[in-house]
Amino acid sequence: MIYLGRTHKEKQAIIKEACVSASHVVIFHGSKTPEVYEASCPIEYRAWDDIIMYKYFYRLLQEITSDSVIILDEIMRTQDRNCLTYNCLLHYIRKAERCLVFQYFPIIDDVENFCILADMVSCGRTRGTNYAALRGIVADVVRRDYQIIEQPVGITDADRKTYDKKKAAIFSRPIKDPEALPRQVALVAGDIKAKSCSPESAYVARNARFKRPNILTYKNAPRDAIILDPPVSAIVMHDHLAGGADTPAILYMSTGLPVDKHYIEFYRGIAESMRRIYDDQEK
Amino acid sequence: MTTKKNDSAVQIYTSQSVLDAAQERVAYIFDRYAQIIVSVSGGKDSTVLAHMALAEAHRRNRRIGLFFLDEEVVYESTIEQIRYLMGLYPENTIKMWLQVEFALTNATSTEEGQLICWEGGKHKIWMRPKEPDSIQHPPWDRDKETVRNKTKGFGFYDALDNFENTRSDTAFLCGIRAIESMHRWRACARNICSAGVHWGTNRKRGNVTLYPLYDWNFTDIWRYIYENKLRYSKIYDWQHQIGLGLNEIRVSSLIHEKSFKALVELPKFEPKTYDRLCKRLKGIRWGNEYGKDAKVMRCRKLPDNFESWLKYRDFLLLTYADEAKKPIFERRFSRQLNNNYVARQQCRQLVLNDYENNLPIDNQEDPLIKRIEYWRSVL
Repeated sequence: MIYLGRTHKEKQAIIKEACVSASHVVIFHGSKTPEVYEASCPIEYRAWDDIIMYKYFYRLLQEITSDSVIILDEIMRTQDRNCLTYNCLLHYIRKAERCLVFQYFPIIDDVENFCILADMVSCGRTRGTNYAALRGIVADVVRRDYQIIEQPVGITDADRKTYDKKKAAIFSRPIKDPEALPRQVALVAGDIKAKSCSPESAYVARNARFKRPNILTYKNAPRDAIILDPPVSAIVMHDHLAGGADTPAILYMSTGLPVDKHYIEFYRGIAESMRRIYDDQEK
Repeated sequence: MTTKKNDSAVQIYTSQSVLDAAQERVAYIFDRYAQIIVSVSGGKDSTVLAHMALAEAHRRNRRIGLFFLDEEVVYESTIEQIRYLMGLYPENTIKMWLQVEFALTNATSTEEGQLICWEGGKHKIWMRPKEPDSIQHPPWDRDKETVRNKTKGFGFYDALDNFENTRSDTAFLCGIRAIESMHRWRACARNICSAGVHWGTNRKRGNVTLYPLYDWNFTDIWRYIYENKLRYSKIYDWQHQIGLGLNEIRVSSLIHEKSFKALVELPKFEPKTYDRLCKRLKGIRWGNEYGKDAKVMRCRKLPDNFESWLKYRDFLLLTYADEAKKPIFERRFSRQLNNNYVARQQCRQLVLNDYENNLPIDNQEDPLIKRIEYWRSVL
């Protein structure tokens, strides 16, 4: 079963109930450090990086039996549905008869990402099927629609000129990966926005370049911190927002510069895709 | 195991197993053709096909040809496998082990860009002596010999074509599988060679090439080998042991532009074969050292001392060692776009000495530029 939008406390209750008759529980977690749960039998925690390692793979394939329960805790870390890690997980899941999948948000940035979760609960039977053709995958849903709330920041003509100049400099350098361009330009906009930060509010930036106590990074910022720089990927944004019982919102500092417009549209698009999945599940 | 029809790009599962379907196809071939020749390479697929055809020949008390075009520079395990197949049902087998001179691309050296297999006068450095019962002289009329491209010389496919032209109304069986690549899928699916048979191609003189295993998967092949206790090339075990992926586990020639990576592992698997190969041909040690290097033979990363793939391509062309082959590249490149995307592929052709154009170039505008322009307009 796929459980969407659950808090730690709710996950704990589900795990306790599901593992009553289990002999062995293996929790594969996407986060670097595991969230700890209790069960009536021993629990083994394996991080994302461990999943593909020979030293765990063959041992786990021997140890996992039909009495085992596999728990995938926030395991969606890449959009590549056929990646080695997901393939290894499927090998583990096929050996056990029960698999619980916990994911706070149902996608990374595309509606097709939901198929990764579907593959896990169907033991791979849905592989090769796209979202539109997905049938019979029922998730237990707690909706986590997020909103993008723009916090306008005034900028001067000089700021706009600085932005254009720095953007031109970025585009004039040799470019190996064009997909890194918006991330680089977003830092230029972040530098402009930082001038308007108030000392009373908490902000979150891509890195610690501002060296101010109220401008934190995605590793340690509170969920309600105002977004100064967008993170490098939607996964980081979702890690930042996930876990709470309330519906989070993205408070985005917006200068009106094109890069901010791009990111606001990008996250609105993700929110729209999520709504589609929630609505489909509620039908 | 289930059979899949290849009338579209999608595999469609039916209730019949691929084994039953292939055996039906082989039976049909025996009913329809008096002369049957199975092409073998020593790999797993041709092992399965040869066994299946020989078993049918044995049941019907018939004799079929087992054809092996010996490239000389192959694994010793491949030769052992061919000997095994030739001796599997000797009373039903007509040995067609062809050991004649033909040119093969050597991707590891521009100085010695071609190997002339079984070249006369060089028997002292041949990889091994010729087989006593092999076909050692071209069995076709030399005056009518066909060559696809005279600049490239008499090559592997010319040897195949000319051998095929010595026969008529013969079914040539080949172990290719559609799932292996889009090229192979197309080869299996594009033609209908006779009523109801879409897994074959019509050839000259009433000959036909047929692919009875066209819908088999990798796992079907290994299951057949296991269930029939067939011997297979040891190379597969060694490749599996060192952790090569399923798509990399293959047995082929050792030096051409698609197989040179095998040289990296060769000293570990067959040190004596490697040693003989080093004496036989130039560039082998280089292929062994750099066969999987992203900046050298794979041409994935631009070497540090070049600003762009265009400049690297120009340098490679300027310093290309074989003056006779240089105009082939110059003519080809002059018809292609001049951007970094195309230039990277051209570098690969030059580095791998691919004068035959076996690594076709995707001649299109650089997709990187399109993405950069997109981001320039959005940001």
